[in-house]
Parts: sequence; structure tokens; C-alpha cells
Amino acid sequence: MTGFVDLIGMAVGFLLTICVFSYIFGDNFLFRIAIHVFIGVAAAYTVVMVGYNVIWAQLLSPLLSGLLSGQVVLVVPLLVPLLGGILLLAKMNSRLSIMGSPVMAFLVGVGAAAAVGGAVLGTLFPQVEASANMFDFRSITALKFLNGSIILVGTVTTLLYFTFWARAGGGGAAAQRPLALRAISWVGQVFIAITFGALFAGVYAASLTALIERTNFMVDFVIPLIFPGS
Amino acid sequence: MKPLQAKPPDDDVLGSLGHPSAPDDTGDLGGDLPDWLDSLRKSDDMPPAASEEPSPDWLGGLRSQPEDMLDAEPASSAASGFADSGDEPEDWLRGILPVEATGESDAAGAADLGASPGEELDWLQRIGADSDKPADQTSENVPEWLSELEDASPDMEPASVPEWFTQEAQDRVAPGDARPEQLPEESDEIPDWLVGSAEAEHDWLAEEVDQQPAPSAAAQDEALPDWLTPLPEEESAPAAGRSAERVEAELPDWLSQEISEPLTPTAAQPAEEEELPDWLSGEGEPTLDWASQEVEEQAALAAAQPAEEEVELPDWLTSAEDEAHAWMAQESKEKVPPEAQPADEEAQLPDWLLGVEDETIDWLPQEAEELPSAAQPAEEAMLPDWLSGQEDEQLAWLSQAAEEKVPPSAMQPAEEEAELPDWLSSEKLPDWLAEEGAQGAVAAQGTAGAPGLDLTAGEGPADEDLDWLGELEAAFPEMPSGAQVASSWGATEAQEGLSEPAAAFDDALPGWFAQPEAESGGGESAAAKPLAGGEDLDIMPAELPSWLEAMRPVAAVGAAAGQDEEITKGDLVSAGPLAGLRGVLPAEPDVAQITKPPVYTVKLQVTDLQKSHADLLGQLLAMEGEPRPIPGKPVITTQRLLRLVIAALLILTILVPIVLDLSFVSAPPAPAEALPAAESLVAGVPQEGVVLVAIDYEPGLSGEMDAVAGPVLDQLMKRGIFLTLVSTRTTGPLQAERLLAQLTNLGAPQYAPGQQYLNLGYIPGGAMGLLGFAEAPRQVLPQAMSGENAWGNSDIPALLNVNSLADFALLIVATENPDTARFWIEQVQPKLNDKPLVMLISAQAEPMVRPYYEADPKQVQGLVSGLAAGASYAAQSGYRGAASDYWSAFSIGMWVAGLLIIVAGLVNALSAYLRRGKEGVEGERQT
Repeated sequence: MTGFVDLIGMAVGFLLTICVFSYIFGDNFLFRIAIHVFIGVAAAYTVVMVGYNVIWAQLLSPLLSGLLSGQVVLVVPLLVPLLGGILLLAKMNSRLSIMGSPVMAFLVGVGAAAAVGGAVLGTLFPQVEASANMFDFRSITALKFLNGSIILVGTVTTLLYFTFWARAGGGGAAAQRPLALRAISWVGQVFIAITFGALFAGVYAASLTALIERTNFMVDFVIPLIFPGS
Repeated sequence: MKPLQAKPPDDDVLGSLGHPSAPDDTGDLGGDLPDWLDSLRKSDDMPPAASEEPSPDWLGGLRSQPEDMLDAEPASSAASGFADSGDEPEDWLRGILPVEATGESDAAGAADLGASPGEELDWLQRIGADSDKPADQTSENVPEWLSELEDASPDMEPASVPEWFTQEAQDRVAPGDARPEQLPEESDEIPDWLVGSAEAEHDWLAEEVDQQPAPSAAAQDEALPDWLTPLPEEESAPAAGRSAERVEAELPDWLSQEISEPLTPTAAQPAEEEELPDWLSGEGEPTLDWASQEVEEQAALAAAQPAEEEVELPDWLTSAEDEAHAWMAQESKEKVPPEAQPADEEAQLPDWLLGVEDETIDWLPQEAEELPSAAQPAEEAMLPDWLSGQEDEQLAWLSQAAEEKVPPSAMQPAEEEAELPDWLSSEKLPDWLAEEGAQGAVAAQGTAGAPGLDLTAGEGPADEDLDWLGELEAAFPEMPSGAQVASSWGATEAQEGLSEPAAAFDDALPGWFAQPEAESGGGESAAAKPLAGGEDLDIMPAELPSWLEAMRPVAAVGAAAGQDEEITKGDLVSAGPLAGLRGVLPAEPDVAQITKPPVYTVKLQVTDLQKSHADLLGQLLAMEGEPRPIPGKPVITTQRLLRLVIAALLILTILVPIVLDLSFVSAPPAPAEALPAAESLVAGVPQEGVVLVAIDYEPGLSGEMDAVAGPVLDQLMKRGIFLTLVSTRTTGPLQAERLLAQLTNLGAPQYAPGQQYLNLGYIPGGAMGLLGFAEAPRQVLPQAMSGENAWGNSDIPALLNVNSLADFALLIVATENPDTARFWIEQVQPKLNDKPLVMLISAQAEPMVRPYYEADPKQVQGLVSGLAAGASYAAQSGYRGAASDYWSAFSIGMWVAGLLIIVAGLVNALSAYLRRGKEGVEGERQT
């Protein structure tokens, strides 16, 4: 039974993979079917996951437990997220959407604060500190200094590349940036190109890995079918 | 400076009022009449009924001079002695004379009014006797001042006529002056108080007519009534024999003092000013200008008057001359006889006459110098500046007036004064009247050498207020104003070129006097205009100045009246309870009245250019809605072919090692620095430690992530490390379960939920959820995916001592998303309290996550990124999994990709080169 279910699962996976691969020939019906199936399944799974793992497990189950046990102290704090969740449902109706605005404002505000705080304290300051520490003469090495210099030049030139102010040319000539700025921008452009190349390589590597995995999956599914006992 | 001298003999106002220039004037006086009087005569064609206005009777007599009488005057004048003498009585006196003659006319028909003065005064006596009746009659119509006068002088007969009146009567009754055709009409206009004595007048008038041909002092004395006899005795002395001393003796003290003192502009003036009443002493006041002139004119008149003409006007007559105050001044100047006046006559002037304003005194010497006649030194001296300094035309009328006004016999016989009644004596007269009479008498005495007057006058009319001018104007609107008279005279006499008094005279006139003068305009006098209609009190329409016209509320009143008229005309209710009423508001408002709305055309008026633009816009809009055919695409394009070639190449290169299970590719290279760190960290997890593993990658990248995370988790599972699985993605918990199952299938120990691992499930809220989980993991994920209590559960002993993230031995985050990795680093890593963080990431996220690993201090202590790192990690750990299987295909695919990039680059460069060469060749060909 388990093998049959796995076979059905593998068959569905194979078909969906073929459908996705059909995109090689352009947008087609099979690809759209695969996309729609994936989105539907993912959404359904999300609803189930959230409903079960969040709403029920973290809100309703404790609330009911508290009510049944008579522990009002446990119930009252749960009423706030419950009421907020209900008000968020009002956003689905245009006439009642204003009722969910306070809850939405609370979520956006807290989310922005968390994101900004995390970015400043978890990324900006530590990265600035790390860049500065590369030139710590107490522990500096040639390679470290070179690495730090490349990082510094790359950072500065990349930032200057996005400087778009220019000086007006005389006699109706087109406005151009100063020569020094253009040179620095060219260096920054090189660093940006390298970064994009690295990103592309990573994406290509990840995609190639996924292709290999899917290809391996199909081979594993087809070969036994074609060559049973292999 | 010349000493102040009396004005040259002239007929002053008194003379014009009641004193003819000569007692024996029997000619027609029409030529001497002032214009206003002349116009008055002409305008007196009003019906007799019009004279019954509430104006004083005596003025009614004045106003009631019928025009026909005036018209008949030439005839009468021709027959009268006035015509011979060339002198004419004043018109207003004519108005009186016919009244007197009416009785006579009734009796004698067309007989001449040749009654002697003595006879003429008889009726006055009878009037005095019948004072009750006139008093009653006049009390109704006479002005208040007249009533007061009567009350104040009970002993004075109401009918008592002043001397000037008597004198006038004497003048009128000159032989041949009868105007029988006027008598009947004039009788109707006789004042009531005169009517009562009309019959009595007949007798003396007849006698006077008889005596007129040979008037003499003796005859007049005989005709004098008893009550007048004392007066002639005093005044019967011939004027020539009357010396200045006698006059001075008769003068009051104040006047005597004035006479005794030589009047000089410098010495006499201060003393005169001291004696002046307040209303005369106000120098510089415009309202007194006329008064000063009048004083001067009075002095001149007094010089011109014969001694017999004692001017003793009662108050009511003085007030009667209100209207003529201004013209009196001019008249006095006009009637200045050419005869020289004795220099000492000016000494007889009363103080109030001498005490005039400076300007009045100043012009006297100048005038004397400027007068052209050298034979009239005194007259020259009396001419004021304004007379001498005026234009030629002004001088003309003055000279003409002088010639006309001065009768041949300027000197009145002294006998005429004998006819004055008792009540006209100076004792009974008011002071002011006596004073004026004295002035006139003195002037007359000096001029004609007539006997001096018994001047018993007291002080001047200082008590009078100037308001009488306004009152008189209002009471007798039909009378021409003095300014009009003056203007008319000025126009007439200006031709004579004798003087130029107009400007100066106008300055001296009161405001109400000067304005009509300005309006009279030129030669035609405003006084010559006939009185309006037949009404006595009809006011002639005034010509208001523009500014005053603008202030009149006539327009507003007219508009309001017009509105009222409209209201009354319309909206007459014809039915209902309000029938017959006007101006009733309509019951139905106007808005409720339905009317057809106006029709407006909707056709736009546009030019051809505008229309073409509109059509073009319409075409553009229409083209946007029309579907355009899509050009057909070839089935196989270069782009699509290239895509197929690349896909096929990659697939083939991948399939070959997978299908053939070829391991022709060497082992993965030595792991980088991050991998040993990660491996050591995983290896350094204590056996009892709990590792928190976050499976945060999507199923689409599970092939790579499983190859990366498998070797690490396999190492932990082989060691039996308790794993706590969480995820910030909804698919994460299932990915974790599938990964663990896959690892178990690959040879890892069987991990049972709750025993070796606990899947806490999904962490909602993204970064916020991570932050909350980092702060309080128990509150955010209290339960496991299986529903059991994750924390404090005795069944899960590994988590009993875990209260925070710092209690975990290692945090492993497997994600393909750089943002997810960043969230873990930013929100959770600071809460680990130096516990290591190992990132298992996809190759595409490495460029974003590696800086956290390369940072100093490190935010990520271990990093395993991509299939290559996973394969290397698996090779180091002896894990045989997907990473090892995929490595050959991955390597070939990477090479193929590299080759394709190079080949594609070369093809692009070659194509570009060829294109440029082709373009250059074409350009050369074109050139």
C-alpha cells in the first residue's frame, strides 16, 4: 500500500515535472496546469498549516482550555489576538475594512519596527564594524588588508556609481558627470558586474541542482518502468 | 488821507422808500425806479384776490400794484408834474399812492393827485383817530414785529404814517400826477388800515391836487394837520438858511460830538468804533458788509436829501425795507446828486454811520479822488473805492443813476416837513428811526442847503438782529432781492461808466443777497422778471447751484413716490375678502408661475480648424478600440531554437552521468574555510545538547537544500542529537519531516518524533515571529506539530531545560532565501548569547550571506552553501547522499554552462563584428 501510494505520488510528481519542463517550448497548457496545481496545493497546505498549527494550536485550544478550566487569567490575554484576528477578517469587505485597519496598522507598525531595528542592529552596524575591523593594524595581514581594501573600494565605487548628478555642458552639449566621477563609477560598475555574475552563478548552480534533482527523479521513475528489475 | 466826509447827495434807501428826491417832483418816476421795483410794477398783474395773503397789508399794497397801473403810468406821467420834472416816484410808493388816490379817484374820477401834502396827511390823522380798526385788522396780517411795535407804542396811532410816507404822498400828489385809470384797481389793494381812511383821504388829496401847482411852504403849512404843525415849525426854515450850527444844536450829543470833531479816517474812526453797536462794530464780518455800505449810503442819502425830508421810519417800516437793504445801498449811490455836498455834512452823521468798517472808510477818500467830476469834490470824496475802482460799466450806471435820480430840484422845501404828524416827531419815533431820519436830514440839509433837521434820533439800530433779513426774505419771497436789484442797476448804470461798484458792492452784500445777483446774469435784472402767477406768495423757482441740487433728496423722494404710485396703480384686488385693496402681496409667489423656459441652441460654433482637430481626436480614439491583427510568428524562431538547444544540451549533459552513473568527475575540491567551521561546530555539539534546526526553504529548491542539509543533519542524527525543528514557512515543517525521513532512508538513525526530534512547526509573523520566538520560544510555539506540549513536557526531556534560544547548543538555519537568512541573523542571532549559528544555504544566497560569515566578529559561525559545499561536507563526513550523486552531473552542467557562456559571448562578438563590417561596407557603398 505504501509502495502504491508512493508510486502514485511519484507518478504525479513525474507528470507535473514533465508539465513544467514543457515550458521549454514556451507557455503551454501543461505548464499552466502544473503551476495552478502547485499554487492550489500550496495554498491549501498553508491554510491547513496555519489553521492547525497557529489558530487552533496557539489560540483556540488554549482559549477553550482556559474557559473549560475556568482560568480567566489565561483566557483574557487570548481575547486580544482573537479580536484582532476577527477584525482582520473585516478587511475582506470593503465596507467593513476600516474595522481591520487598526489591527493592520498595529501589525505594520510592529513589523516595520522589527525589520528596521533588526536591519540596523543586526546588519548595518555589525557590517560597518566588520569593514572597519579589516583595517585593524593590530591584527592586520596583507591578505586581510587586500581583502578589506577591495571591499572598501568596491563599496565606495559602487555607491558612487549611483550618483547621477552631472554638470551642464556648454553650447548645447549633453550634460556629463565629471571625469573623476565617471572613472570611479566605472570601477563601481565593475564591482556590480562581478556581484551580478556571482549571483547569477549561484542562481545557475541552484537551478542546475534542481534540474539535476528533477532529472534524477525522472530517471529513477522511468527507468524502473522501462527497465523493470534494473 | 482825506477827512471823512459825508457821501455826496444821493437818494438813499429812505429816499427811494418814501422820500422823493424833491418834494415838488411831479414827473413820472418810472425812469428812476430801480429795476426790481420796475419789475414789480410790471409783474403786478396778479388778480386782486392774490393780495389777500397773510403778508402785511402795507406790503400787500406794495405787491398789489397792478400792472395796468404801471402800464398806464406813462399816460399819467405825461399829465402829471412828474413828467415835467423828470423825476419819478418810487414804484413801491406808487403802490401806495394809488391806494391813497383810490379814494380820490372814487370821488374825483380821473382827477390828478394834486392834493397838497398837508391834505394828504389828513387821512393819516383820521387813521390815527380810527386806530382801533386798523389795529385790529392789521393785527392779523401784520408781522410780529409790527404788532410789537403797536403794542410798544400805544400812544402812537397805528395809522400814523412816518414822515417819509408823508413826503412821498406829497410827491405823489404833485400836479398832473394823477392816474385815474389806476385808481379803481388800486383801491382793491389798499391795505385794510388804509381802506378805513380812504374816504378821509379824498378830501386832502383833492386839496393837495389843487395846491400842487403852486406848492409853497405857506400853503403846506396850512394843509398840515394839527398834529403836524409843530413839526413844520421846526422844519419850515429854508434849507439854505439852515446852518450847520443849528443842525448841530439839534443833534443829539453823540451826533454833535461827531460833527464838532473833524472826521478824519485816522482820528474819527476809533471814536466811531467805540460808539458803534456790536452788530456794526464787527469788522471783517461778512454779514456786516452790507451794513457798512448801507451806513455809507445812508450818509450819502442824507447829504442828498433836502433838509425837509426827515426820515423817521417806524420800526415796521424799517423792517419793511429789509428786502431792500441791499438795493437801498446801491440806490443811495445811484441817487447821489451831482451837486457838491458841504464838507461839514459828514459831521452830522451819527456814530453808527460813521463807525463803519475800515474798508468802508477807506474807500471814501479814494472814491473822492477817483470821481471824474472836478466840480463835485464832495461827491468824489464820498465815492468808495469800489466805486472808483470798478469797471467802466459800473461807473456808467452810477453816473446814469446819478443823473436820473437827482431831480432838478434836489432840495426839498422845508415846508414839506411841516406836514409831519406829531407822532412822527423825533420824540415819538424809535431811536433808530430817528437816527436814520436825522442822517437823511443832515445829508439833505448839507446838500441843498435846506434847513437842518431836528435830529432827535438816538443810537443806531444796534438792537436789531440781522435775522430780520432772513425772515423778511422768507416772508416776502415775491419781492426781488436786493442783489437782483443791484445787478439790474449795475447792468443799466454800468453803461454810464461813472463808477465800478459791482464787485465791491457784491462783497459787501449778504450772502442771500449776492447769490441772486450772480444768477441774474448780465443786463437783464432778475427783478425784471414778473412774479410767478398771480399768487402773492408764489416763490419763483430758484436756480439751485449744482452742489445744492445734488444734495436735494428729490430723486429719492421721487423714486419713492414712483414706487408708491406703482403700488397704488397695480395689484388692485378685485375679488375675495381683500377686494378693493391695493398693494396686497400676491398669494402665489412668482416662482410658482410656470413659464416656458427659454430655448437655447446647443449647436456649437466652432471654426474649421477646431472641427478638424476634433475629428482627428475622434479618429484616434476610434483606432484605440479597434483590434489590430497580431503579426504571425514563425513556429521556430532563433530565440526559441537557441532555448531548445541550450535546454537539450544541459539535459543531455546531466542525463548522461545520471543514467550512466558515471563518476568521471573527480571528487569535490577541498572545502572552503566556512565548511570546516561548520563541520567543527556540528561536531562540537554536546551529546545532550539540543540543536535547533530551521528548515526554511521551498519545495522547489529542495533538491539543492536537501543535498546541503542532509550531510549536516545526518551527522547530528548519527550522534543522536535531539533536534528541534522549526520553520518560518508553511511548507517548512513538512520539508523537515520529509528530510528526516529521507535521511533515515539513506542510513541515518531512525528519528522518532518526540524522541529524537520535535517538530514545533510553523513560526508565523516573519521577522516579528522570529523576534518573538527569539524572545520567548515557549510562548510563541507552545505546542509541537503533533499537538503535544513542547515545553515542560516530561515526555520530551530534552526541552525541559530549554527556556530560551540560548539554551540550544546550536542553531542551524537551512534556507535558500537570503532574506530569510538575514532575518535569522538579525533577529535571532543576537539572542543566542555566543551560541553558534550555522547557515545551510543555497548557492544563490551565498553572496548575500557570506558577508555575515566573513564579518569580524562573525555573525554566522559556519556556512555551508550550495551543492558543492554539501558534496564536500558529505565527502568529509562519509555521507553518501544526493550531493555525491549529483556532483558529476552538476560538474558537467557547470562546464556546459561555462562553455555556453563563452560560446554565446563569442557568437555575440562575432555577430557584432560582422554587423559592424556589413554596416561599414554599406556605408562605403553609399558614400
